[in-house]
Amino acid sequence: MPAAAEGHLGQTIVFWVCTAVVLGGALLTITRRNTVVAAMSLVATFFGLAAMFTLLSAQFLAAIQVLVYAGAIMTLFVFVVMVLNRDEREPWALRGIVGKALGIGALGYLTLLGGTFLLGASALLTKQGAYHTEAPKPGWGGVADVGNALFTTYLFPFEAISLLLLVAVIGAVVVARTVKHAPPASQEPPTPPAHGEH
Amino acid sequence: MGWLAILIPLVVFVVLGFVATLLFGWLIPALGGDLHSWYAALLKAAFILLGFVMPLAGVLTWMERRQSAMMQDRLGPNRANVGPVRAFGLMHFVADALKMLFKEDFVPANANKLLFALGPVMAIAPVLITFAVVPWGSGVCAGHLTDRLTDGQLAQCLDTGGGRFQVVHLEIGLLFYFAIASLAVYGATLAGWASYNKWSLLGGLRASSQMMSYEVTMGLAILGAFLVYGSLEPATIVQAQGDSILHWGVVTQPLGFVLFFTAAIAETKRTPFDIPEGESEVIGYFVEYSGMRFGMFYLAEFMEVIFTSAIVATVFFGGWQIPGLHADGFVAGQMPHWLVCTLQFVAWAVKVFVLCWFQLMIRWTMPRFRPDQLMRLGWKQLLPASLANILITAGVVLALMPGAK
Repeated sequence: MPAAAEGHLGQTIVFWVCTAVVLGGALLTITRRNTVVAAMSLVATFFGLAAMFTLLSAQFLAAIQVLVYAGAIMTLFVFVVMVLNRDEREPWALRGIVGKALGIGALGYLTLLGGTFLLGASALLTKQGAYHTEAPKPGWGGVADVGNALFTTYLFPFEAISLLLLVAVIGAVVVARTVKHAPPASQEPPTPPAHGEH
Repeated sequence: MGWLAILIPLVVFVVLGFVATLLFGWLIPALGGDLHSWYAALLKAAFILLGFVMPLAGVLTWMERRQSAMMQDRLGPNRANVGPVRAFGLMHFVADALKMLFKEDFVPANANKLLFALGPVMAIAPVLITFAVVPWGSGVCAGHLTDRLTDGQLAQCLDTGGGRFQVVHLEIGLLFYFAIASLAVYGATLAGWASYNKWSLLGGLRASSQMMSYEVTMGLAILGAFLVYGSLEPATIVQAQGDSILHWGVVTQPLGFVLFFTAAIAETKRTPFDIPEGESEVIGYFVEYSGMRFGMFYLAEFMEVIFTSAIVATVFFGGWQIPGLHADGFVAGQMPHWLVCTLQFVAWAVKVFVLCWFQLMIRWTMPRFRPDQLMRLGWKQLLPASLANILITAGVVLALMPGAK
């Protein structure tokens, strides 16, 4: 069927474009010295990931990915970066032979991990029946589907996480609240600060 | 001359609606095009953005000056002659655009060039994308333009081969809008930070804190409407609002309407919520921008006004619905399909236009909030109210709706 073949080609193109955006954004995030540029690269990565979720018919997850990570959490990151406005030079970074050795070690470890994963994945993909090839049911990954799963099968984890978030919010409020000192026991007016005191 | 202000937009909307009906109901199918294909979606996007949103955004820049002038008992720009044609000063927005295009594009010496360029793009792109989910008519059934279709026939036709008057028909619907709109905050923040200017940085900080705060209320306020209409898809929500005004969102969700409209106006960053600009305090996150880069912020602001109107009209004012109008007219078999399509577009456009006018009126009536008042209103008043709205709506829906339990 030509229509299906065309759709397949379109999906392939979108997939590779998204892959480029995700990987490019991730690389820029860890290589850029400028923190705001790094944060915006991470936003691009999140956006590419969301597009990949739509390719997997997980529309709800895609929208939430952009809404929560790109739209809310990264905004907070950028906000904090802007307020702190740190120097682009990294005074705490390890330089010289120690830094290079550590870097090479980390790169080697990463290559090892990635290689193991790719080998395992290719072994899994070539196995017969390891993954589904048929298209998901209509409505799969949609709002109603995810909502049903959250409020029936996964109700306990869902409620437990909401409790955890509530604890985190209360903790943040406790940390951030302005401490009101109790008024001094004596009724004297507070003494004005001495002049010239620094 | 007052009647012209009503007549001219109305005539323009009728023509636009007729063009859309002919384009998607006859021309594209006659050329062998598939109304469900990606190029049909592209054409729809081009039609709604270039035919309706951009021109209206341009006219709004003039309307804002004229309307503020009327409200302040002065004349405002009433002439911009092109030869002998005065056209009430309408040509001002063309002059504005030309001025901005030819102005020097100045970039401050210490600005971060990349992010400085990214700022206006991030401000204008999300607004353009979000128009993809707005339905501007029920849709057109190709090949049946002169027939008298019943509601059922039209619905069946739209599901199989007809062209919806909506760029994409997503199941997640308005969630897509919230996701994309949440990216608009980067426009202001990046512009403020990259300009290397203390005032613009303050403006950017104010913008990001304000937009983050009011996004929460905006999302929660519209949840009540989702509960009532049982869908997140704007076209389905419009369909569910039926042909009676009593089913419109503004009647079933009055509190939700007020909360959503307030939060949406705060998101557009216009008076009384123009703390990020505050020209007497920090001038704004775009203080270092000139030429067309500033023009993009300016245009984005007016397109946000139009988009806010479009969403409020869709969710709370029945979108393209005219009370009593079915797919075959007010009485069965009264009107041909093309006439109904055109009328529905006109109804939608008039609602958007009136809501734009209403937003301009708010803009020129209210004084600016202080930042602390803004935060108190957002977090301590609007947010609890929107939570209460959800709770009450959920209770009522559970009690009244058959099958909700």
